[in-house]
Amino acid sequence: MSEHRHTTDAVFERVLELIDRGVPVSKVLEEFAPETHADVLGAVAAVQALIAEREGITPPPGLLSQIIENVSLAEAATPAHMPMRVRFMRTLLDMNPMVKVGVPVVAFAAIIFAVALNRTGTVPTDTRSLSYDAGPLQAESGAISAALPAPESAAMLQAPVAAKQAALLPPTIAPQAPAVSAGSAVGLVIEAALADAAADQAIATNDMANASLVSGNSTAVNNLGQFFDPNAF
Amino acid sequence: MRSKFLIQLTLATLLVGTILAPNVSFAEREDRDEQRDATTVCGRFDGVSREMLKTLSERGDSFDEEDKQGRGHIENDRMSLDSLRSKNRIQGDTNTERQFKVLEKLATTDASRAAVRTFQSAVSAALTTRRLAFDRALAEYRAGLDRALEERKARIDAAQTAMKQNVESELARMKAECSGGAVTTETRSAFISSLRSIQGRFQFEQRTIEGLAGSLNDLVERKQEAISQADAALRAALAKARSDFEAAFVR
Repeated sequence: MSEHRHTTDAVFERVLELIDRGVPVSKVLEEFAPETHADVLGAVAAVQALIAEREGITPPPGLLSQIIENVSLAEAATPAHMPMRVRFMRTLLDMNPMVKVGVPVVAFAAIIFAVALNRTGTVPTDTRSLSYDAGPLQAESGAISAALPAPESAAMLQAPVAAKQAALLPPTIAPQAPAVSAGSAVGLVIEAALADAAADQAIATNDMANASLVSGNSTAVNNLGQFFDPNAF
Repeated sequence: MRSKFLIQLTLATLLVGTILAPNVSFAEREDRDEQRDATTVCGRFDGVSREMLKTLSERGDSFDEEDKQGRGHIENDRMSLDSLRSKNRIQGDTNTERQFKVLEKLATTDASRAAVRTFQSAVSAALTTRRLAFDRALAEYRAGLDRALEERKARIDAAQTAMKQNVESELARMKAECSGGAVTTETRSAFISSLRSIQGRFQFEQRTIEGLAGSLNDLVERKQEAISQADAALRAALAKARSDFEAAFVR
């Protein structure tokens, strides 16, 4: 009984039950996680010795060591200790016949399908069909836009010209009514001068809308660099 | 049990990978391409090279057109904005004159009339100074942008010309190989590599050129700085004119 001291009672009880029912050691091991197999094998050895003892079999000299040796062999053959390629083949052989046939058939069909898809490649006449990496250009453009001082920054460099025009049309200076006092006349003169400056500022802001032409987002230039498809030759 | 699951998962992953990998990667296509019989290169050479040169030419035209249209937009915008600026200034001057007239009517003493004249001169001078400063800042900005556009166009044209010449030269070399009848897989690979190298050089140059856009930041900052200074000077001049007027104007 000393052999099962190192294992837990629950594992031992379950091993005892399985061995008693004649379940092979390899099947017993399948019930347990691989990391517990050493403990389980200890339990198996102890159980087999216990059964022999219970049934009044006087173990011949060396039986226990024989059992342990058998268990060691079984241990060596368990999935947890097999090389990966052996486990792979064993898993294949253990599979349902439908799966065994189905997997290669589906894989073959997939390969044929993939090859057929790639055969359709032609010389591109429009780079929209090419998956070149526009990320760095966009990032660069974004960085440029972000670096521009507000308010004439990102939105103007990115939005279409028409949208920019609509959004940023400078205010037209409205006519003023004549003042009724010297104080209000002076105030309105100053207001008119500041409105004049504000209108100019709006014009300056709007004037840079078309700087997007040099902001690195040129489709035509990107296309120039995409003239070549090696598959064409 | 777990190892079986892992193996089944591996099989499923391999299956999905087999379907997807060729479609998401040009590398697979290129590998297959490398293995293509070298003799087919010569068989399709004339047609493909003609198509390639045509594509290059068309895309060069597209770039010229884009550049022309872009400049056209800029010119149109400038004309519209200049027209609006003139209109705004005329209306601003009308408003100012209207209030000056009110002040002239309210000035009943010599001292008051003198105060009004001084105020008018100060405001007019401040307005003119600001407008001149603004116009100069805007003109400098526009000239800088025009220079950036010219430089970009010239450099892209040069890169494009070099690329086209290199492609033509490479095509001529390959055509000669085909005529000689000694085309091997290695010959074809070297040809494809040369074309890729030409393409890569252009794309590198393209990124450098588009990086010129960074120079716009300086232009914008200089313009904005000049406009801000002019506005600040205007506000200071107006405040002084108002203060002087209030001190001198007597009903």
